[in-house]
Amino acid sequence: MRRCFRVVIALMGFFWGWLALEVHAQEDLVAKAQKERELAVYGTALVAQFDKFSEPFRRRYPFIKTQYSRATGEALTTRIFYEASAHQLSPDVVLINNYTHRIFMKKNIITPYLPPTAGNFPPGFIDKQGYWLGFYLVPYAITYNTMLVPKGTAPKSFDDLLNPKWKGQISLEREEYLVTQSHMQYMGQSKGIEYFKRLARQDPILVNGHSKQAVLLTAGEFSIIIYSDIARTEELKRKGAPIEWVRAEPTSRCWSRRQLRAKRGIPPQPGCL
Amino acid sequence: MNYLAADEGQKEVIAMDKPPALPKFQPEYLRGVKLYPADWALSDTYEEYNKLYRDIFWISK
Repeated sequence: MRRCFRVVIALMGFFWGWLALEVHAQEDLVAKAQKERELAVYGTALVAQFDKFSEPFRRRYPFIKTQYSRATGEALTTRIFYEASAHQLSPDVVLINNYTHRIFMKKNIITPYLPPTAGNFPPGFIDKQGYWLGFYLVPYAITYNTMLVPKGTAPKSFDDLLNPKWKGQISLEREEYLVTQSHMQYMGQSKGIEYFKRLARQDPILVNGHSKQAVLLTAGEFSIIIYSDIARTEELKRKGAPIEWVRAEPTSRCWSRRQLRAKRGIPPQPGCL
Repeated sequence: MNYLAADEGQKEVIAMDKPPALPKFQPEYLRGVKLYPADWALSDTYEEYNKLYRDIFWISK
């Protein structure tokens, strides 16, 4: 019994020591961030989305000015490659999908960083090496305009989209690399390639950007989006948009992560908060 | 534009010190939906795949 008691005391001592270290590390970061005062963020999230994400941060650290620059995934990737090659990377934090994140990681553009609060993140939300923190996921599904596609006639599966009646009525985001590659993995490579070739013969309407695609679908410019963000669809539905999504498998999802870069070899303090 | 976290959940997120576990904030409309994750290791072949994608959807049009 006495031995057990000693063990408990030792563990409590370790716990309080660890907690004190964490608090100290956080205070140290805040002090350094107060000197730097600016946080530059690049991301693919809409400005309104970012405002929601960053609201608690801005309230907690009002002395840090947050600059957010938004672009589509491909444009953002190109910009970061360009800045990296010119040794003039501007962002402290990048919000982008896990797929592109890995490309940056392999090209040594980002640096790992585990915040003092890393222990607060549940498993699956944080990389053990500190290369990313996940804070939202984007589920994609077939989505259609209910004015153009009456209930009961909507496609029930991805194979249904190959029906000649949908020719020229399906929209595909122009650079839908990640989701289509994921879909191809689900189907198997040869079946996937065959499916996409048949889909291409349906004359899909290529559109730059998912937001623009959703607006055009709502306006009735085309009947169907093959891969559309379900959260966006639900939001537009709440506002009265005549659109609906299909519960067809697979419903793809991708993580969006936040990642950090090294700034003159040192993780930027506001980005570390 | 209000997104998922802008609903009641947003107030909770702002109020909490720890980030939420996924199931807690999974919206009702996704209940029962099987999500197929995008595998980040797919990006290891992204240049090759992106070319294939462009060949199929851009060039063939």
